[in-house]
Amino acid sequence: MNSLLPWAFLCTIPGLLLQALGVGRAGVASLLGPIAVLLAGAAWLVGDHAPLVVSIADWLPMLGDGTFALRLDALSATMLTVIGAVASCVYVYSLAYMHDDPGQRRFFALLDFFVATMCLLVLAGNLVVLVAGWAGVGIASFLLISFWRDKEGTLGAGMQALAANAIGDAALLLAVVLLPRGQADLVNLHALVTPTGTSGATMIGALLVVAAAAKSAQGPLYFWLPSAMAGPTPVSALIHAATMVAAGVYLLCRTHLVLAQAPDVLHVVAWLGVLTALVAAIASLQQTNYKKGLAYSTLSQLGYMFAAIGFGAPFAAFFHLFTHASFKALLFLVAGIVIHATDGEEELGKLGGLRGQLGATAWLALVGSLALIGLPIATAGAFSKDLVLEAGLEHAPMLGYLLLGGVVLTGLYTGRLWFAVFGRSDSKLHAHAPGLLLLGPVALLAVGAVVLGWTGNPLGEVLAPALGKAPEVHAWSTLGAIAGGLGLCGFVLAGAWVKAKGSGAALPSFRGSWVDVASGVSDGVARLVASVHDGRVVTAIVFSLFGAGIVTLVTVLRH
Amino acid sequence: MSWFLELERSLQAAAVLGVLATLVLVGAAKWSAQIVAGLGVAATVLAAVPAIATPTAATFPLLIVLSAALLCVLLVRHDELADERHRAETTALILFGSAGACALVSATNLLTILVGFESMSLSVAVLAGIGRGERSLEAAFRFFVLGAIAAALLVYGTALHFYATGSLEVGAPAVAGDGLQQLRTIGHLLLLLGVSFELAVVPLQFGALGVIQAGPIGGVGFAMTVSKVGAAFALGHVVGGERLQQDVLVALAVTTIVWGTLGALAQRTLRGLLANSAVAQGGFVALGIACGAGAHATVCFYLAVYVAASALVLAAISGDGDEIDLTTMRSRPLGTMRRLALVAGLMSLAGMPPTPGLLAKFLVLARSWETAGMSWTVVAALGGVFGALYYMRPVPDLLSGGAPIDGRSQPTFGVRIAIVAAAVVTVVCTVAPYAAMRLA
Repeated sequence: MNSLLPWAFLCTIPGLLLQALGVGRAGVASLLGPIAVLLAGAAWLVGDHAPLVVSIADWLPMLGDGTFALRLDALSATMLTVIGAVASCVYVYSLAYMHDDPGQRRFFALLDFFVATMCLLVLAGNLVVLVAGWAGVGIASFLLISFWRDKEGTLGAGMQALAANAIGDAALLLAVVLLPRGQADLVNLHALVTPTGTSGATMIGALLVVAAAAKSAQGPLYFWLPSAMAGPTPVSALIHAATMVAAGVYLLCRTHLVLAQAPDVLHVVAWLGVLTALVAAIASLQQTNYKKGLAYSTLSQLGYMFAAIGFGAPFAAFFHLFTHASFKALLFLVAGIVIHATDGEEELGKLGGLRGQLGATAWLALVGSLALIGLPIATAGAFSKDLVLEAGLEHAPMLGYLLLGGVVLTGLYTGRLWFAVFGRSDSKLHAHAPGLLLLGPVALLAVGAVVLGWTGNPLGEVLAPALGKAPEVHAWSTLGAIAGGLGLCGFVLAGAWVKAKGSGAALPSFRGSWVDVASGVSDGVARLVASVHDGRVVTAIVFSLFGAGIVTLVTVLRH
Repeated sequence: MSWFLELERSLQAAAVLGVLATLVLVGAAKWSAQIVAGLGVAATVLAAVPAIATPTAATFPLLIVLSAALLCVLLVRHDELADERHRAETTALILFGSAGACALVSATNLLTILVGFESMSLSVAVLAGIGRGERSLEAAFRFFVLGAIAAALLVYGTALHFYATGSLEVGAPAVAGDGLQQLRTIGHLLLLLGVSFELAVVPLQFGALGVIQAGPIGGVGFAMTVSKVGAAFALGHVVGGERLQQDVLVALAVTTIVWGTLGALAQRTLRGLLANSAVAQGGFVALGIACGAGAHATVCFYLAVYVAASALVLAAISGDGDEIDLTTMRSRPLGTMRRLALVAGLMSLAGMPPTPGLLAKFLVLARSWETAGMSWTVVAALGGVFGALYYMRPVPDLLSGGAPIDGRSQPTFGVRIAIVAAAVVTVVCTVAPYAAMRLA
C-alpha cells in the first residue's frame, strides 16, 4: 500500500474526469481528491519515515537520466499535507462560494488539475518531472485567474501570470539542459554540479533562484501576483497564498545544498527576500482593494522565506511556509466571505464597519491577522517568524534588523485591513451572514493558525534528513517578544490611522512600473514585426532577397 | 517489379503516391468527391506499406510525411473551395506534393532535392489558389513568386556545387583548385536558404504566412505539416555535418523563433496567430536540424508532435473561414469535440504540460545546448516559453462554454477521424515518448 503513496498526484484525476463528464453534483465529486492527498502525506508522516521512490527508467531515452522519478520523503510529505489540508478547506468553501456560478464544474475541474500538477511538482524525484509539474501549476493558475471571462481584466491578469511563469519556466528548463546529460536527481543535485563553469553551482543555483523568484513573485517578478487577484477568491487562497506561490520556496529548500555551494547566490537571495519583504509591505499600505492588500502581504511574507533561504536557514523558511499557509489561506477565505456577503464589493473605502453583521468572521479574521503579525505563544506565525529573524540576526545582522523593523510594517498593513473592514459595527452595506460551508473551513484554518507553531520541534526532527539539523523552536524568546510587540504597535497604530482617515486610509501610490515599460516596448516591437508581414508581394520579395543577401555576405566575409 | 523494389523506400513511397494521385485525378471525372477523397486516403495508407516493410533511418520520417498527408486529405472540405469539383484536384495535389516530400526524406542528390522541392512548392501554390475568395488567390500568387525565388536559389546553389565538385551528390567534396571550396560553401549556403523557404525560416518566411492565413484548410494543413517535414529532412541533408552551415542555420533558426514569436504576439485572428507561430515552430525544427545527425530522433519526435498538434488545431477550425477573431472564440459554435481538440492542439504547440509539446521543445533545447552553446539556447528557450503567451490566449474562452452547435458547425466524418487520429498520436507521445523515439 505504501508503494502507492508517491502516486498521490493522481488522486484528483477521477474528480476532474467526473466534473468534465458532468457526473454527480458539481463540486462534490471532487471532494475526495484533496482529502486523499492529505491522507497520503499524513500516512507517510506517521509511518516509518523511509523515503519512497518510484523510478521508471528510460522514460526519456534521449537524456542520460531520462527517468520518470517520484520521491515521497519528509519534505514532500509535509508539503502534500499542506496542499491537501488547504485544498480540502478551499474545496468545501467553494461549494458555497461558487454555488450560483454557471461554470462551477469547470472551476472544480481546474482546481483538480491544479492540485494534480502541484502534487506532481512536490513529488518530483528529478528536475525533469519537476519541470512538468512546475509548468502545469502555471497553466492551471492562468486558467483559474482568467476563469471569469465576463469580468474585465481577467485575461490580462492571467497573461501577466503566464508571462512571469514563462521566465521561471525558461530558467528551470535551462537548468535541466545545463546539467551534464540531464543528471538531475533533486536529492543528489549538489553532488552532480561541478564547482565552477557553466554546470557549476553558481550557474545552476542562479537559474533555480530565477525560477523560484518567478513562481513566488519575488523582486522584479512581483507584478503578476497582485493582478492575479482578479480570479475567484478561493483560487487566491489556495494557489496565490498557500501553495503555488510557495513552490519557489519549496524548490530552494529542496536544492539548498546546491545553493550552499554558491555563497554569492545565497547573498543575492537574502537581499532579494529582504527588499521584497519591505517594499511589498509598503505597497500593501497603498492598496485600496482588499484582496490586493492581502496579495502584497503574501509577497512580503514570501520575502521573509526567501531571506531565510539566503541566511542558510532552509528549515526556518519551510516552517514559515508551513504556518503561513494556514493563516494566509484563512485571511483570503475571510476576504471571500466579505466579498460574497456584500455582493462583490472589494474596495476598502466602501467596506467599513462590518463587525456587527459578520461577527464570527471578524473574530476569525482577527486570529489570522494576529498570526500574520506573529503574536507570541498564541499564534503559529510567531514561532516561524522568530526562526527567520534569529537566522537573519545571526548570519547577516543588518538584514536581520531590517526584517525586524519590517514587522512593524506587517502590523500596520494587517491592522489597516482588519480595521478598515471590521473596525466598527456601523456599516451602511447590507451583508448577509455566511453559512456553515463558508465558515467551517475558515474555523479549521484558524485552529491551524493557532496550534501549528507547536509542531515546530517534531517537524524539525522529521525534516532533518532533508533540510539539515533544525534549530530549537521556542514558544517564548526575547526576540520573539520584541517582534510581537513591534507588530502589535503597528496593528494599534493602523487602528488609529483608520479611525482618523476612514476605512479608505491608504498611502499614496506610485504610477507606472518596469512592467508597463517592458509591455509597451514588446507590443511596439511585435507590431513592427507584424507590419513587415503586411501581405504585399513587394515587401516579401525585398525582405527575402535582402535577407538572403545579408546572410550570404556575412557568412562569406566571416569564412 | 524488381526495379521498383530496388529503389529507396522513400522513392517507392513517392512513386506509389504519384501514381495514385494520377489515378485520383482520372477517377475524378467519374466519381463523387467523397469517393475521390476516400481514394486519396487509401492511397496514402498504401504508400506507407513500402516504408514500414523494412525499417531504416528514413522510416519514421516517411511515416510522419504519410500520416500528415493522410490528415490533410481528411481535412479537405468542399465548401472551402472555389468550386466543389476541385476536391479531387485538392486530394491529388496533396498526394502529389507528399510524393515530393517522400523523395526529400532521403534524397542526397541535388536534382532529386530540386524536383521534390518543386513538387511540394507547386502543390502548395495551387492548393492555396483553389480556395474561395481573392485572398486565397493573392496568397497563392505570393507563394508562387517567392517559391520561384527559392527555386532560383536552389538551382544557383546546385550549379555552384556542381562546378566546385563535379558531382550532384550533396556531400561531394570540392575538387582541388583555387577558390572552389569557397564556391562550394556559397553554393551550399544558397541551397540552405532555398530549402528553408518551405520551412518558413527567416528571411524566407513570407510564402507560408500568406497561405496559412488565407488558404483552404487542406492546403493550410499541407503547408504547415507535409511541406515542413519534407523540407526539414532535405535541410538536414544539405547542412550535413558541416560546421559553418550548422552555425548559419543556428543563427537563422533562433532569429526565426524570435521573429515568429514577436509576430504572433501582435495577431488578432487565429489564422494570423497560427501563421506566425508556424514560423517560430519552423525555427525550432531548424534548430534541431542544425544540431546534426545526433539530433535526428529529436527532430523526428518534434515533427511528430507538431504535426499532430497542428492537425488538432486545423481540424477544430475547419469550416470556420479564414477570419477567426481571437475575441470571438467564446461565441463560436464549435461543439465539445472541436473545442477540446483546439485546446489540446494549442497547448501542445505552446509546449504546455501535460501535452508532449513541452518535451519536444525541451529535447531540442537540450541538443542545442550541446551543439550551439549557451547564448543561442537561452534566446531560443525564452522564445519558446513566451510562445505560450499567444497560444494560450484563446484557451480560457474555449474552456468557458460556447454557442450551441448548428448544422454547418458539425465536424465532417473526415474531421472527426483526423481529430481522433491526431489525439491518439498526442496521447502516445505524452505517456510513452520512448516508444515514438525508438521508432526514430
